Amino acid sequence: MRKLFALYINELVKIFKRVSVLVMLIIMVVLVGLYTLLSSFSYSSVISDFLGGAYDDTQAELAALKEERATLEIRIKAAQASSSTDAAATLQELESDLIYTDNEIYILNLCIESGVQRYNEVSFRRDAIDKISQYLFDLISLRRQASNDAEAALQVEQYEKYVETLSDIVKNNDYKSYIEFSKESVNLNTDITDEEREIELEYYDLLYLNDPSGSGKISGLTNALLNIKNERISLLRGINTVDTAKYNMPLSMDDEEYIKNKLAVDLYNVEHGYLALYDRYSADYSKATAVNNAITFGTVFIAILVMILAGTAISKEIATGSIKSLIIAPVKRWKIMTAKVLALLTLTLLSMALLFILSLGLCTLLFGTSVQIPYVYASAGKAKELSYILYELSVLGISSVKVIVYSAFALLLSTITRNSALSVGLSIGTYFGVSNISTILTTTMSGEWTKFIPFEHFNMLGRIFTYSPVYINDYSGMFGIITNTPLMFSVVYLAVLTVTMMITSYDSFNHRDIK
Amino acid sequence: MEAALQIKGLCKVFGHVPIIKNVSFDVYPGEVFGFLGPNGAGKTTTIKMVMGFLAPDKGDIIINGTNIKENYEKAMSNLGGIVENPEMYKDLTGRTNLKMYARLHDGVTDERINEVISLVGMSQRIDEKIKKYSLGMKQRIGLAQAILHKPRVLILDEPTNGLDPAGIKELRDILCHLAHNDGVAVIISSHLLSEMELMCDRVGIISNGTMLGVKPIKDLLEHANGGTVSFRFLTNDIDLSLSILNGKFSKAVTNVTSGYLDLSIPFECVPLINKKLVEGGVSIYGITQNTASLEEAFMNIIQRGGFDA
Repeated sequence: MRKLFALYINELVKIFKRVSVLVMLIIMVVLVGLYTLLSSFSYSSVISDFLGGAYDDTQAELAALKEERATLEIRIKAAQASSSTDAAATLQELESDLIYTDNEIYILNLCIESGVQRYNEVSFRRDAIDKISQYLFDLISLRRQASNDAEAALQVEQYEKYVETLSDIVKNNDYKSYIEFSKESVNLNTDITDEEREIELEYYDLLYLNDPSGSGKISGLTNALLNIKNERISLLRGINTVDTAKYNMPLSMDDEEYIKNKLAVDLYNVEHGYLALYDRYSADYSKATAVNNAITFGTVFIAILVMILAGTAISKEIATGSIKSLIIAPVKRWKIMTAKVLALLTLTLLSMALLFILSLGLCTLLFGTSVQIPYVYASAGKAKELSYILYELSVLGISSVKVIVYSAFALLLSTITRNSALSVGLSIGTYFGVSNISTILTTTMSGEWTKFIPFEHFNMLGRIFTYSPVYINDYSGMFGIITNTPLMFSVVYLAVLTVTMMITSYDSFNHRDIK
Repeated sequence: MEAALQIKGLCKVFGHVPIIKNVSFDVYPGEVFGFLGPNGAGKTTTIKMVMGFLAPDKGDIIINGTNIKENYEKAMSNLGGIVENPEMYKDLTGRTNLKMYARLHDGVTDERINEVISLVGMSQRIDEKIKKYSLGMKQRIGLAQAILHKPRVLILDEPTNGLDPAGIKELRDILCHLAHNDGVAVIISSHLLSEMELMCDRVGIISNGTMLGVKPIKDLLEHANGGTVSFRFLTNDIDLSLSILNGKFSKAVTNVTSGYLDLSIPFECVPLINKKLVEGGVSIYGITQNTASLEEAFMNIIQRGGFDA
């Protein structure tokens, strides 16, 4: 043990006195810092583009429409005066165009009057305007039928009232009435069962309850409540409408369990206001995922650094002859190897810790502490929280699995080939070429054995944090094989792979001659 | 006296070619042992097996009474050495390299490190990086590393490589001191036979993977020339000398020039001949043993394939 510890200290001395290691760590720190800084700028510009930076030129659009209307009137008069056979058809077409134009003019006037953006806005008033637009469109055909259809005439009357009510809602910025209006239309819907109606009504109740002004983080809340509604309906009907891969299939026991848990999580998130992750186009989303992104970004540099060191661990010592002073020392070879492995693990751990402190610190500084949302999961329908720090630490730990497995690969190559360039080149090449290789393999091959292609198994975040509202920097599910592979299979498979590579490295180093 | 290093029936095959064939020899504490052999004879392969680079296919290596198969770490803790050129971590200083090596041994203090550094004459440059060192300086640091933990057996492969004449003399003094005062068993392999002759107490000769024999260096020189050694008598009176030696010793004369005579005679005959020449009126300016003689002996033994053939 004492000898092993001495060897381990020596390996650390060698690693940390290497200039390239320090340079690489500095590059990582600088680039992660730069990335975080840039993402703090770009989130604000993305959001301002979306919510206010770009204004609709409503006045210009209105002027153009009025001009078009004038042209249409002239053409209608001309058509009325004409006596040719196809003039009647042309007239009808022109009259429809006139109605469309009038509708659009009505909407634009409403926008100008109430100060709502027709296109660049996310709000309930914008939703109301969309609905008005839809009713006006439906009214065109209904009015034609109304002359000889009493039911249609009744509906015309009703729709006209809707347009009026909605216009008032927009003008008065009256969220409460909007909610009531929406609930009213649910009540009138005859296509759904009473239970489904209750779920639909509760959706609006929750919407109003959690955001009485209708102006707040409307999108995240809406998405969360839509999830809840969808999950409830799915459970009610016994049909999967939650998982896109199993869409419209009957619920299995597992699916039901999962959806129940998911529902508990969504309810919990709404209750506690953890809504940032429900809307990936919002500022809060960018902020809440910033630490995650910084970790993913920085891990790439750590991976390169550790792969270089692992890929040269044995081969460089043999090439430069410095292995001699290790072999001559009174230590068994397995201890030399173990010291190297431990030193590499220490480096990985330390640089990961550095990355964690760096990204958490920077993001807190730039975005504030308010975006540190805990991860909520559930078991047996009961929601639980994993604190934010523990969640990010787990993300960090899971990200380092890939670094460790690839470093074991680099170490194996270094021990067997005793060629540094080959070992480093091949392991880094595989690390970055993986997405291409996997795409080719998984799209051209089929069968059970494709499960044993190792590359996709690293995508574990999405399978561990299954209750996260979004996929987290993870492409699981992009290709078929991983979505259906249990997490445990991936974990065991990667463990067996790593242990096999390590045993081979040890065996090769222990028994092969050093000439 | 128990041998410090025992090598018994060592065999090594590379691929299908046997490189070392049943090599055995012992080295005792307090002696400098020369390990000789032409290129490719198996010197370095044998040394690498002793040092743990290569695993022997057959045979035992016992260092200070411990078989390396039984307790590798205990056996190796009594061994120090340099194989081929000393190679160290080039980006680290000489001192850091020595400290790292010292960590792997028990009881090497900082004082001991400083003591060894001044012993090999590297105190001035010890805090520079290895990559700035000349070959000679690397040899010195290599030696420092090899003797740092006071090993009972010290193996040096071509230790004079890259050293200047003063350095070679210093090395010789250090090694002789270690062997004769501290009782270390020193094993040296070298091509420089004159150096070996000056340093070694015994030599072992290996050729073609087979050990031809081990002899004290004096016996070796005599044995090789059938009990005679070549001596050079420096004199101006060549003709007079030849006439004095004519008869009984005429066969002993191997080389004649205007300044000296080379005589191939047994060791004991040197005073006798000297006396005869001086009494005959020849001025003798000096008598030296020919340095080329170990080389001749060596070549003879190699060509004959053994001591007794």
